[in-house]
Amino acid sequence: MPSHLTPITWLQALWDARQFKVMQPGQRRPSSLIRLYALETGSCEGCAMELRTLAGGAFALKASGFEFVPAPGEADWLLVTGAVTRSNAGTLLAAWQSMQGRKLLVAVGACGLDGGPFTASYAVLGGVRPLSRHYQVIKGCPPSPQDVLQALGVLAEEVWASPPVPAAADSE
Amino acid sequence: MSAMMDFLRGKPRSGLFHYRLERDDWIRFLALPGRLLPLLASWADEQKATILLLDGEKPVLISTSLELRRYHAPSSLYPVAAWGERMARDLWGVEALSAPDDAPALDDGSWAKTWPLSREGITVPGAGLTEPKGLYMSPCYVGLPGLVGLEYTLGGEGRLETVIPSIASAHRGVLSQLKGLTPEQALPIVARISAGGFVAHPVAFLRAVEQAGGIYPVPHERDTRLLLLEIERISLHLFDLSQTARLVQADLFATLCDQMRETLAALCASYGFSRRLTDVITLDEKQRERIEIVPLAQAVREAIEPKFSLLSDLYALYGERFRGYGVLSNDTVWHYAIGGTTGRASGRYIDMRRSDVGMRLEALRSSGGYGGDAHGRNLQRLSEIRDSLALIEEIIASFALEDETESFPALQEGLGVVESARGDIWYWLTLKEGRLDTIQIRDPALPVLTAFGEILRGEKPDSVPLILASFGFSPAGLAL
Repeated sequence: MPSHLTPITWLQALWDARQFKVMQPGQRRPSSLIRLYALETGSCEGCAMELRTLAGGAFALKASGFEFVPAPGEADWLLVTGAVTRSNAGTLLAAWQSMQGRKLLVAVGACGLDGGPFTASYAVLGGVRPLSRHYQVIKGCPPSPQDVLQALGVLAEEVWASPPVPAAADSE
Repeated sequence: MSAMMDFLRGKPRSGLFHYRLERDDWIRFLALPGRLLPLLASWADEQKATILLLDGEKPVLISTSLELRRYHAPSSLYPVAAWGERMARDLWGVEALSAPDDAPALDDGSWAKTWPLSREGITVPGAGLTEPKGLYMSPCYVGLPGLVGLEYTLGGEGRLETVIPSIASAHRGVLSQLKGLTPEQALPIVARISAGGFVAHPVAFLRAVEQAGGIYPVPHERDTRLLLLEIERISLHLFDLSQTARLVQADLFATLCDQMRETLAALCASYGFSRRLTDVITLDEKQRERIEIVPLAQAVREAIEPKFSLLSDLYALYGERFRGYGVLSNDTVWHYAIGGTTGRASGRYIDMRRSDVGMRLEALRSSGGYGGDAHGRNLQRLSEIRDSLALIEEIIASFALEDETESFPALQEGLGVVESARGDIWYWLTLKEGRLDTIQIRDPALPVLTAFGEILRGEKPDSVPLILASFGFSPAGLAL
């Protein structure tokens, strides 16, 4: 590439990136970020890919009050994508139990809720619905990053206005 | 003609492509000297073992009947056959004799039933998970959207010596769900086998169904699918470029890829399609008639083309960061029959689009051979996005024109292929009274998985996420 193009390319790309960034309507930067951990548990990977996109630079995730963290022990909310294969049940439980404080279980997409098209079988438990009584849902197949961001914002308002999940729910 | 095709001449055949060998001929075939036809897949169920070979760009299926639930292992000749044999053993309890590796591939001890697709399956209420014994990278560390873990050993300088991949936790029992369904019932499940092919998997499936029924789609439907496939190709290439870029802190480039992909998704939605084209491929004639693809395709071209030169220029600023990661030699991609951008970036230029009825070949200009590393695969993706835009333009210009087709009989057996963004997807199926009697699927991630040991040997463990992301590796279409 000719070297004289370099500054123009950078500037144009930076301008584009700034122009596009999707914000949550009416958002304000909250005082502390809600930390999210995404756990894939067996699916087409569509919802997991949407969460990757949400975590990228095209969406104003931090400005909306959220950030992804690399370990469940650092997270406030657990976002589950996938139909929960029997092989992953232990990983899901361990992730949930490693979380502290006012934690929240969120099923992202149809599979995360009830397995979607992947019905309960010798290999599949069928989402978080049969596993827990305390969870929230972000619908879609797959939900868009914008839908997820918007739903997270709504959940944040609802959750902080409601009483905490009982400690006994840890093992449910 | 290769010795293999010479051997098959005169053997019993059904249709144009499926040979059936007796046990002794099967064993002789798998011991033939000389040049091997590339093996794409090895499948088995309780009745038969089948391999899918490629003669040039023409598929050849070869089957043999099982005796006492056993068959001679194709992996004795083709290493890439091993995963298919191991999966068949887990699902049907059939044994590949002389196989170099018979470890479970899908059943990690968590299943509630052994041999779940077999008539002799056994319920195991107290099943327990088999834990990895040695060093292990969890799917979380590997960092892909899908579930692949790696057991490994380290050699000198802390580099990887042996690598054993695990995809068992991604298994969703897809084949057990599909068996016995009508094609209409199966389609929503097929559409969700892999997000790497919301369009490509259903199209490959429908091509197999249509071949079984002895029909071609009408030109309008044919070109609708071709356009949808190219839109999906652009979207997935942008995703894979973005994911790879994030791992080398090329954030601005990654963000541009994400934005372009979201623009594409928004266009799909605004023209009445689902954002990622989920469930767009249908068997419903009325729904097909309602699809107006040309305005969407035109809008995609107009939105993406002006950004493409910026994308290429910006990539040039970051390209050096990808050099030398996950180098795949030309020998390796031929040996394992690795296709898609990965194969082409290493000089194996096989693109099944060239065999598609109605394909506008003049638009497929990318020649491949970019050095076989992560940088080469990115360059290949960029050149294929450019080709897809050109192809969209060509198809729009001659939309739904009749093409010459040869008629063929309805044999209730079909083989369908699609060149997806990540490589060639194959469906082989038989129908009985309008329902799926046999269905086997070959996803392009299979040969990459088989080559993991060779690909990753000598690499540093912390390079693994970047290397696998640069392949666009996804186990969703494998762990069926």
